[in-house]
Amino acid sequence: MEPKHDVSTTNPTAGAPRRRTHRELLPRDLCPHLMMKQILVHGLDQTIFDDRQYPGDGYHWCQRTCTPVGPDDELADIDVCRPGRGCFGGVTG
Amino acid sequence: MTSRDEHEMRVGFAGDAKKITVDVPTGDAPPWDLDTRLTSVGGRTRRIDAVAKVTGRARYAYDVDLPGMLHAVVARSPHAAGRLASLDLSAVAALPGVAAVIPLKEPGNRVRFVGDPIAAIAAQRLDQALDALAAVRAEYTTEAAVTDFRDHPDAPELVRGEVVGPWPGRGGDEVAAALAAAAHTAEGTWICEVQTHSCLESHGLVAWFKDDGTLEVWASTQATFGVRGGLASALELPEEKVRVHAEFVGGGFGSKFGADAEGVAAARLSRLVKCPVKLMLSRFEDHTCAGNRPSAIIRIRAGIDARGIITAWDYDAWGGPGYTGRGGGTRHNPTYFTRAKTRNSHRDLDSATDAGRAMRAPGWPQGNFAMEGMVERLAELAGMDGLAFRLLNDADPIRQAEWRLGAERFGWEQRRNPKPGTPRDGDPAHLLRGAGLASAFWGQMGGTGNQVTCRIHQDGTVEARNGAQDIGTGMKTVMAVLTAEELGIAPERIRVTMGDTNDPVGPASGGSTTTPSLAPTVRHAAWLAKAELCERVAAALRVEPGSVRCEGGRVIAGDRALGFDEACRLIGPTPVEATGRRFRNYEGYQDSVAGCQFAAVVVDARTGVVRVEKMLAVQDCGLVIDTLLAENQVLGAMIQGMSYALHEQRIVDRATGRMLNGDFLNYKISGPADLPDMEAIMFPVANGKNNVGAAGLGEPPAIAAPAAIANAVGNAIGIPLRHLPITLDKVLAALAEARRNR
Repeated sequence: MEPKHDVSTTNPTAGAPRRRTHRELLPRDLCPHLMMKQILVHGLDQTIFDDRQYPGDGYHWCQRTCTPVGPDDELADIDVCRPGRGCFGGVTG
Repeated sequence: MTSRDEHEMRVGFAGDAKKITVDVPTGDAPPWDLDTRLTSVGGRTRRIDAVAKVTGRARYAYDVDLPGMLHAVVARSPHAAGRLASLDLSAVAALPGVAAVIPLKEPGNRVRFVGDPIAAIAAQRLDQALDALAAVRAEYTTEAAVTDFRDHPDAPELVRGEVVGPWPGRGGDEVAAALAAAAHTAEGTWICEVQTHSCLESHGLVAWFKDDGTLEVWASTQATFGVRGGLASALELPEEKVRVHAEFVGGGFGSKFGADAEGVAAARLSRLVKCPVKLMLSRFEDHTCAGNRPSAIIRIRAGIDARGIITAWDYDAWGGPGYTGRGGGTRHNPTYFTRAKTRNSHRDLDSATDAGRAMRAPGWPQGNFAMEGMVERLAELAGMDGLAFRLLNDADPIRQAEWRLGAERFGWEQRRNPKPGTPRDGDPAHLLRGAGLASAFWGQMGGTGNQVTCRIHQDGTVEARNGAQDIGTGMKTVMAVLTAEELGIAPERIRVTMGDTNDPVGPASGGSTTTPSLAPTVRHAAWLAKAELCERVAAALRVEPGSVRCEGGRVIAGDRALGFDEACRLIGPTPVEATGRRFRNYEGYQDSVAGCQFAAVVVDARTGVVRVEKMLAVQDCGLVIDTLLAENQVLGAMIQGMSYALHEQRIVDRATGRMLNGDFLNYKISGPADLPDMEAIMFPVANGKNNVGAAGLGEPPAIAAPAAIANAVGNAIGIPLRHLPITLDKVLAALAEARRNR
């Protein structure tokens, strides 16, 4: 997996631009089988604290397997659980 | 669109109280603020389930024993990376007691860590299932594996514990300029090892697939509704056919949100054999296959101006979250850096080990350990005491008050070693004492989407029900206290039911959100139920409903005062029942909670053993619903933080990827003999975020302890130790190096 290197240059508190929420940062066409802690704790409307934080904290799993690996034996993640993947369970088009 | 009513509130705390106007959604209970007089709330209520717990009557998933129940185990990959070449389970089914065996991987599938599940076996007895593991015939094609993130090709180069090499170029111009202009600068590297969740109750569940097509489950989980959804999805069942129980849970700390492969396996086995199947992980499996707090390498360079104000902060981190390569991010309190140019960068490095999971303030103990270590160094450069330096730089008004209160109660001036590395007066030469401190920050104020039922019966009993779980934090008692407060009766009178998905929907317990998510709902339900109770009493007594109120164990109707039970007799055979809902948060006073912790240690320079002598926390959690519970949460977090600072470390054989200390003998966690004198001071703040104003306490007090202890050790021995856990070998090595350099 290609590691990401995220860089933030803004101060995380006073005077900083408005931070976006997990919901705003998550793709709209995400597979509904992709689950994450933030969804379960009703926290998608929480603001992402800084750019080191992935939407959903980075702890993702597939509801069809209940593991971080999807039914196609590939990792479940917000980058790849999208239309076009064979096991995608959402609405396309 | 919910309509809203303007409501004036007095919020904040004694040193910073202010009046604000908030938009309260129409239908919500009037919010509590600094001027609200409360009776049950803020007291010291004994947990309503205390007797059940100490007598062993509390039934955890591990305790569930159903007639005809089978026991299941999981066959796992012994290889860290590769593919399953073949899997032959034919010999397993013929073994005595074995009822069913299913594959969990197909030939060709990847194995990603030692312990990756490949098959599951159910037998009449656990020993029969365990014996059957030997009959699983699996062949693999193996691959070379990186089993430590430090060996990843993109890992930073470490020389004598320090990252060397260039800083990320992108986005650093402003920070570089601020560093160049700083009066003093410093640079350093901090390293954290993997910590496992070490829940007292291991992961697992009992699944019973019944003849009517329903699935009933008793799970050790932090998310009853999450497990229901996961199992329904995995087994392609309608969610309403799955019922999950979790009346008592023996800890989760972030690792028990899903059903996991094992939960799905138990349910599939049960569907095959049509009887209950129990699958609970062994301690070794729990250490190696159920998540962990990822390791981290953190490199910081920072600068201060001539006054000691932090003006530049460059933070570069790498996380080791295991095979998923996600979730290793580290974070730290931002409130020191409001006048600094900052850059934060992070990279996760995958390895062929079990995947990290959320663990009590994910990423924060690691990041705060590094950040507070650097702040300590900057204070030295400024020629300032660590407390004075933090008071100068900390922009949080709540923590400013907490620093002062904590320092006084802790005895900061007396405990701080003015000559680090030397014994205090009266101590033998080998005993070195020191003190440290650190901040904590958290930002979750709860979310919407849950409901609570409050039911009042004519015999005077009161129920409060929600389907979420109490993971041991005392949420049931919180529900009792809030319901009692609204109804004007004692908390002990409230019968609370949690942990059954047939009850109203509730949140997963994560991110310190259960209390702030549920507490306003609990109160709303009780407030609605009280209103209907008053209406029925008014109708029975033929008085105006507005003249009836609940107070001091009585229901007062005009000039009459009835006992609560007496008033409930007027309800009639149909109970009063109300469903509370969670409205959106208001703007409020502040979106975050603040805390700080102090630690005093003594280090034996001959053995390297660090003993924590005193810990003190000052912690804001919004409104303190129950002081005893809140203190308990803080103390527990401090102990877990101390354990992380001094003891806990997953040790993996780099050649094979197998954990070498996957038990509680070789994986040391702090025990009673390690505990110092501990004190938790709750710092109430009326945060004005909802009708209660409570914040959670799972995460906030878990953040500061490792940093405070590390700084205390540095103050004691005169050398900063920047690699957790601070085991005696590291202390001795640092002392030896210091002697060589003298």
